[in-house]
Amino acid sequence: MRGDSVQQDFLEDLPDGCPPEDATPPEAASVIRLAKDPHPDPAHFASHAARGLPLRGPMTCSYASCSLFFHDAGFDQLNAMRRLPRFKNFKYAYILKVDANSGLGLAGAGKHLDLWMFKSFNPVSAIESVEVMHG
Amino acid sequence: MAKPRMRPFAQTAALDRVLVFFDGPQVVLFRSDRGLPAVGVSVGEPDSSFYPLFVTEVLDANWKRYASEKVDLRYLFTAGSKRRYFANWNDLGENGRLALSRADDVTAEEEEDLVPAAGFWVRHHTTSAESRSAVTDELASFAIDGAWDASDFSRFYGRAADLYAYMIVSTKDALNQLSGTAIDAIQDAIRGQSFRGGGSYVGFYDRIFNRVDALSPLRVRRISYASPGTIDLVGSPEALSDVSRVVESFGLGGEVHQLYRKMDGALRRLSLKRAAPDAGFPNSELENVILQDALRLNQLLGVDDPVPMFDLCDQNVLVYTKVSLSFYRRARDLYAFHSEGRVEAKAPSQDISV
Repeated sequence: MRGDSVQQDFLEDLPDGCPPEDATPPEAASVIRLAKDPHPDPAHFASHAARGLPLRGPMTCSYASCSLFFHDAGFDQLNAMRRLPRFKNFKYAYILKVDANSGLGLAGAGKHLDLWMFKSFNPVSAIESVEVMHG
Repeated sequence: MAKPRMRPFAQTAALDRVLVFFDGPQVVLFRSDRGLPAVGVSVGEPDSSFYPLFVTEVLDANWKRYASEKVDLRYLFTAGSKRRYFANWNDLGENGRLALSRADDVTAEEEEDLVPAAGFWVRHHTTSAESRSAVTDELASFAIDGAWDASDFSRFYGRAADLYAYMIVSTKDALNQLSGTAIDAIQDAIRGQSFRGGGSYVGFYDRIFNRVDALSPLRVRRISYASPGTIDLVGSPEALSDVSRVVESFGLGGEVHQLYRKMDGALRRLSLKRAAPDAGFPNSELENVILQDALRLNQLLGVDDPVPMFDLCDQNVLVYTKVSLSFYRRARDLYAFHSEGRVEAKAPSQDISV
């Protein structure tokens, strides 16, 4: 159930029909954003769509979400992502708190979370720590 | 009429599904126009016109091995057909197809920037349902015969569970998935039991089993209590396969039994069977001989890499030797059910109900 949160504006312009119907306000949780830069900036949370890249194939709404991992996925998942060619240089983990006031979320496999952030949510302010990943 | 020959290279691929999505597709499964699975990974920084993918065609058998975590993603790019291509995700048409261009001239140095590093497995996919449906647990079915009472069932499952846990923690990949707390608990269990005699490892195996249970649970799916009847266990395909290998290896006999007797006898003569972990061997040469025997015993019983367990034992040769001897005894107990004719393993199958 989305409850009152559907009334909130989203941080990014979303494609029609997004977020999907099954997106819900996330329960309070610690999540991780992979990053190249040790100094967090709102731009580091921009979605594929917000960066002006074309949307192709299925998963249109995911292109306009911020990809996060639940903290309890552990570093196994994060280190695995860093084994993919695009992520070799993503050495930093921004650890932040999200809750129902952050946006609407949809959890996937591998502890992945699509988050469509509210305009009122500042992801940089929500960061609790920045960790350097090894391995 | 002669069967038409497959073209040597593909020209297009049709999207099957996105396997990993993180701010855009990162790993994608296609079907090439040669009818083979083709896996693409995102490489380089995309822009508004070019979203580069490096694609490899994969033999069906290798795709199945990947789907069941027998091999990792890197393997798909470095083994098998070696038919590799570049593609532009932005060219994906309404029909779900895109063009492939051959990547024959990639140098070894360039390849390292295009191919995933070792250690990305199917469990790391971020899209649910279809992509993970291939990650089915395996159903290990055992035909049972003869007279079985409750304690026999308990003992059979107990020994299978002990070996299952031992084989899981004997892989570096599994250890990487365990939290520091879980590894500490396993090491505490090893230290806590190691100074006792051979029969006191029940607690040790219980504790490592409890820890790996969250990672790759082993479950009894069904017991058909009849003669003949059936016991169905469901768990990690790799670990169940490893347990079968332990039993088969034990049945081959010869060197493994000689090694056990040699190691057990040596500890007895040196009064080390109940000694504390810090009790030393008389000299380093003897210690090294015992260590080599213990490593060899593990390998003969089907442990591909005995080092992770040795590391879990803090590289303490006495502790590792005792753990290895206990591993042998559990294999012996499970093998006994087979040699007595009371159990026969059936061909494994995938359990899709989990």
